[in-house]
Amino acid sequence: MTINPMRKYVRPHGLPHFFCPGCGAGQVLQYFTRAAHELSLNLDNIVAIGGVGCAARIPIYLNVDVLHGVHGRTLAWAMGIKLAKPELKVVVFAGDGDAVSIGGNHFIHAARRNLDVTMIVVNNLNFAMTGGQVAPTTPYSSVTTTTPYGSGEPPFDICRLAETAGATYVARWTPNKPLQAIRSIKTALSHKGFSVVEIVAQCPTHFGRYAIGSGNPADLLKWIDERSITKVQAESLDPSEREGKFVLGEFVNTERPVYRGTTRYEVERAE
Amino acid sequence: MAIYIDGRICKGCGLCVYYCPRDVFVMGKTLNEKGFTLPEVGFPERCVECKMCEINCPDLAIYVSRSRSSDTEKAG
Repeated sequence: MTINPMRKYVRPHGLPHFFCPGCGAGQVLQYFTRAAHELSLNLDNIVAIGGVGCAARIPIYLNVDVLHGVHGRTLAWAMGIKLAKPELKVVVFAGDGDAVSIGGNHFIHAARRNLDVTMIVVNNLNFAMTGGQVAPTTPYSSVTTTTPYGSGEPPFDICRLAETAGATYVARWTPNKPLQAIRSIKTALSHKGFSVVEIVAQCPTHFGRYAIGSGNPADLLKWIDERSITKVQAESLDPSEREGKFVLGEFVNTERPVYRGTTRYEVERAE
Repeated sequence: MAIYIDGRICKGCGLCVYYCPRDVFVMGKTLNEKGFTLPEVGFPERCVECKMCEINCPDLAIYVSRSRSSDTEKAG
């Protein structure tokens, strides 16, 4: 065999995919297939959901049942699937737009309820599919197509938001730490409760060209790596020194009762 | 050990060159049918089969077949 064995998890004729050369979403696609392979997951029991955006195209290439459509409403569908068929494993692929800007309210309330889904957030630091506009996760003073003099907004920290809202597994990695990212996706897939894995990925076409001035994905990965610190390193730094850095690591791993429905009927039916 | 690059789906992003800790890959001069420049395995004798290129290829285009005994003497 001379092809990547992970391609059996990808739809036949799905490749080459639509992602730009060097896009981090393609790497996350491969990380997920490797995590599913190492856990020997039955693909018939997985539902992958994507909304709108570059990262939301990842489920389309996976050889599982897929929902794809409305922007930001991925977790609403995940909740419906989980209430109707709790035995299915639901994985949500979302970009930063899907997760914390358009779907931000669904995100915090899914975390509060501890909905039993895995959410893989591919944070590429801008709205890439629509042309590289400023997003809630864009680092401070970054140049994008809509902020030609640099963004004046402080960015969102997705992991801290999920942690504060009540998610029970939260981790953040970058494509510079592929094995740790695969391990975290594995832990999140086998975790009972709302698990969030944020991957700070590169978008060479838009964020790379506008914000750092290079369309080379390797340059952007180096840029991300220079701004990445581990959780242990972050503890010894002042909050002012920590600004603009991506803190990597596992932040939360706890257990809490999962969401089974709002009425007693739904709760009893699920049991 | 052999490194296979699927030239039909490679987009020539060069991440295999970035990820390889032993600088096995070089960007070549051949184009595929979509017009992307393909990487080439320039120094196969340096490969230590860490599979970083295979794990990190965004297009799932690389496959590294491991030899049966992964000894460490082929450092070069």
